[in-house]
Amino acid sequence: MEQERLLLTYEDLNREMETARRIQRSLLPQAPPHLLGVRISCRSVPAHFVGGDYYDFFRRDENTIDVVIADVSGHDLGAALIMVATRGMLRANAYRSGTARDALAVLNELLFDDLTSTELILSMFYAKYSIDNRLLSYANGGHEPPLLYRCGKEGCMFLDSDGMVLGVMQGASFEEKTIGLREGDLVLFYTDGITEVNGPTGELFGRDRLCRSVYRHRGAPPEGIIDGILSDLAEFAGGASFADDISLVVMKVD
Amino acid sequence: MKIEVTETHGVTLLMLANDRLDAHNSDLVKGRLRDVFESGAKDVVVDLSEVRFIDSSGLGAMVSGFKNAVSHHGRLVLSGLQTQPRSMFDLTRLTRVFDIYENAEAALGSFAGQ
Repeated sequence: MEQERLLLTYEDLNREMETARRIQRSLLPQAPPHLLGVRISCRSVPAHFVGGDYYDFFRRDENTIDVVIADVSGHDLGAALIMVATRGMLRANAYRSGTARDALAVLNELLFDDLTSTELILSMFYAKYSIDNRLLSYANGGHEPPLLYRCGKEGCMFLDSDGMVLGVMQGASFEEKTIGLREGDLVLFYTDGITEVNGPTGELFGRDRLCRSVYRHRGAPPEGIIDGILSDLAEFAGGASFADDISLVVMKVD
Repeated sequence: MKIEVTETHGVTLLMLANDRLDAHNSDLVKGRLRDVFESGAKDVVVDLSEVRFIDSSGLGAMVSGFKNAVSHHGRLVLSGLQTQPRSMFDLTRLTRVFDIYENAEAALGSFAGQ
């Protein structure tokens, strides 16, 4: 009898987690917005029922799009709930025009108490891209720096700017940088689930391998670049499943 | 994860005896730090010299400990960061809120004369 009750509880729990998983997945954009002048693809590869990865797009007008990617510490329901709260706050403020650094500063204040009480932190990279002048403005709150491949160049560079992970210090300010992009350039936004994939000998995939992977697949459309990176990751992992959620957004300038 | 807790001249030292501080053991570390501060400790050193890999959950545990220290009018410092943990603290700019020492002895010594 007791065993039956426990089994039932386990089944209930599993069902609820499955519902949570389904809802959280549905809160990520199913497809990025279509804009003339830039092609974007995104993918999320969950490692658990729920997690703290998040990305989103806010289309300001025909000419401007915001791209945001974030990671709440932890892979559990607590991280998932904070991710949902983060999404709500960003969306509620998305109608306001403001800089990338403002977006991070406001979010840091709004989330500070919640992140303190849940003992979590949040890394976030916020970018705004203007299609007509091909300018990308961005601010970083302690997130893995996105990778920029310059068309026709060897290697790649990383887009970092000064800013602390969110939920640590009230009143934190964030540096904003602007960079001009050119036709054929591509930017990869990602979460640390990629760089922290372990190879068979325990070494990490890391940013250098990620850079080489992007370079290898640079000629493909954004969706193909994501396929290529995931294929390189799977090969590096030697068939082992990924331990952490993986999220990727590829933006290619036309 | 094995966590060795010792006290020297009123300073509590937590030695994390594991090569990873990640989602699998960060809650344990958070809880242990909470217990330490709730039991009256003010000055705490977390020695990470055996930790070769830390992820965002591990960083979250350190931040949680840092906030616990502040709310108990205490101080939490770190020691012995290896290459990957150091790069994570650099990336997240947490190096600005934590005092980080070369080793546990130096960290313990930083409390002397306070």
